Amino acid sequence: MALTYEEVVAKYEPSLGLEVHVELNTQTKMFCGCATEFGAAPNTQTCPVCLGMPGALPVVNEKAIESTIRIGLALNCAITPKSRFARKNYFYPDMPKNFQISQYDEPICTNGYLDVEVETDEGSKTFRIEIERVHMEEDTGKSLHVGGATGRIHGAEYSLLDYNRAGIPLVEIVTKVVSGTGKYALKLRRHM
Amino acid sequence: MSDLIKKSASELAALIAEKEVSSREVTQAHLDQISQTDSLIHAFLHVDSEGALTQAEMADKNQNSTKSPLHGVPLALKDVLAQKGIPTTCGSRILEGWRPPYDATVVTKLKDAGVVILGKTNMDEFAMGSSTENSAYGPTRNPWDTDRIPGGSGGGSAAALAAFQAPLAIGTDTGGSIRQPAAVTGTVGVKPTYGGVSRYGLVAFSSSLDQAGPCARTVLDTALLHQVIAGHDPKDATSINAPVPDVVAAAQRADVKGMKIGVVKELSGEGYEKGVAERFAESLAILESQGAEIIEVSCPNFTFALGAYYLIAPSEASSNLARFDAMRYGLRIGDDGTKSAEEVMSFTRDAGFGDEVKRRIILGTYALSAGYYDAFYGSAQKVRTLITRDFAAAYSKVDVLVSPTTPTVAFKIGEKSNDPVAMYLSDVATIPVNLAGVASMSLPAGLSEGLPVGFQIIAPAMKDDRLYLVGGALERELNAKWNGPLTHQIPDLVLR
Repeated sequence: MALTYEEVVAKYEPSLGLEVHVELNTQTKMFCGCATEFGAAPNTQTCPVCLGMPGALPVVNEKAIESTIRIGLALNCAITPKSRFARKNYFYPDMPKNFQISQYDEPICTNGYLDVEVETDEGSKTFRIEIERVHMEEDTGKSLHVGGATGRIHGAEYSLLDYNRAGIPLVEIVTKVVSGTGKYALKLRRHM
Repeated sequence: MSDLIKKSASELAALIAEKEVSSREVTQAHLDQISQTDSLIHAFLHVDSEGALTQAEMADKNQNSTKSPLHGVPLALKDVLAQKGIPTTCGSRILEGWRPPYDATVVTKLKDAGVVILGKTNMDEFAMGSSTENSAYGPTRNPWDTDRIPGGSGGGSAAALAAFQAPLAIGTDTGGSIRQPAAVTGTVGVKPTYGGVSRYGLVAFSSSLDQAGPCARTVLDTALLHQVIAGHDPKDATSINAPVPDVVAAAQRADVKGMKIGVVKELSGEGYEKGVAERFAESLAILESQGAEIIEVSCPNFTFALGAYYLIAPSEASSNLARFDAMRYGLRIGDDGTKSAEEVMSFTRDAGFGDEVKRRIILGTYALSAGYYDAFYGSAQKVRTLITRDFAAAYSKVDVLVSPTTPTVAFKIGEKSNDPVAMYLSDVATIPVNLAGVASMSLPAGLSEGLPVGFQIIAPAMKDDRLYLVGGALERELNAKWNGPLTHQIPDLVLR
């Protein structure tokens, strides 16, 4: 027989790992020289590279790598001497190349930790959050699906696309599972 | 026919520099030749007469303020390179109507050097093919025999040279697309060291193999063009940040005395036509008479090159060609207000890509899919390492390697179009070069039953100058024997 939500919570202790996305505040995008200013008129901060025009090539933003390494050091990670970007292939209109440049098997930072002190029901407590990896990727564009019931692309009458965000550097921090933290996940994330 | 069109690029540049003739006159002579012959040859997909004449006039105006060795000389550009405002199709329907908003770095360098761009040349769709028959816009014909193919994928650029429509051309070479067309049209083509010429603006087929390079009718012209387009580009992270080898000086020196030249054992024998083998042997004898030492070397892993290539190239292509989805530019099919974005993508890719492109996208997507990646792409990359080691071992004994460029002379249009594997074998001798990223040249070695045979030279990475030392020496001796360049023996075109 299926358990009710209350029964599940009473029986099991939720243990969570977090994947935290951090958008970097670099002056320019991850792989081109376009501005990253928030709130600009749609599709005004684009170029052949972040629009995925045929023939255009990415060149990595040195500052973004530096920021990621700083994040890795702050999280007590090992910084790899050799890192590699990989393509994540899938079709979606907000991604101009139909692949996202991300990192897969060779991220920039691995195996770190962060000690976080939060107020719990039993008073102040320090959790050691182990960090599995910190890697870089490019953000996708912003899509707005108009019409249709769900706000998703399926069933939409038409879609609006803004590529200003496409190619903004994104750092992904992945923690290992931290047991006993289910209740405090939100607080932990704020501390991070 | 103006006698200007038979001149080499370096001769034309000298005439223009001395104001014996204007760039406008030279450009007009080539545009005339295109309009007279291209209904038969079909080397061009787009002729930019107006733009070319404007560039030529500009070149005439700036004549006194330039040091460019190719100032005012016209050129044919393969349609795989982005040129701002000029239709760029890659020989595909899917890019119909696209006019790039930017110039490829190669194009910027050409413009800066005062080179006049006549138009865009025909090619196998997305550079996938060895005959230019895979162009969505119809095949190009070989000026030596118009019932035959001009090679591929850069058949348009090679045919434009052999039809005297242009003295210079740009090609790109992923598995032989510069060298094989050069071989079967009796012209010269160089695939520079990987990273030697910027790929920014070259529409990617297989990013780890693609390389743009110079094509011309003489070794010196090829070197002059090589010098113009080569060099580090901050917009291409794989471009080499080191001085370009002095290829022009090497072409002028053209000396092989004391050089050790290795003959690749695996690139001979079965499958190589008798006429091809004979011209190759004669060329070797010439190089030996010029003071080179000829040594046979073995590169055992070259036999796996074709197999590895047909996993690596389609895999990379399947990802690179994903962006052609009708959303932002080019063809769009089925957008009648009732179809989903996914359906429009699917209809457009179905209608916009030809059979060979679809074949490779499917093959590549399969090879990269979860659970198969290591077995296919991973294994192919290991073979690539073995081939690179074969080259390294060979270069510990010799300065350059040589082979016939292709196993056969130009075949008939339609002869291999239904047999992909037979077509793939056209590139058996050129593919190992791309897998290892080394530099290579094809130049004419003579005729077999009236059709050109190519001689391939392969130099270590960043030693592109050695191609020109050897090529220049061989060309000088062969031209002396033929009383002029081989291209002067091209029969007059019978216009239909």
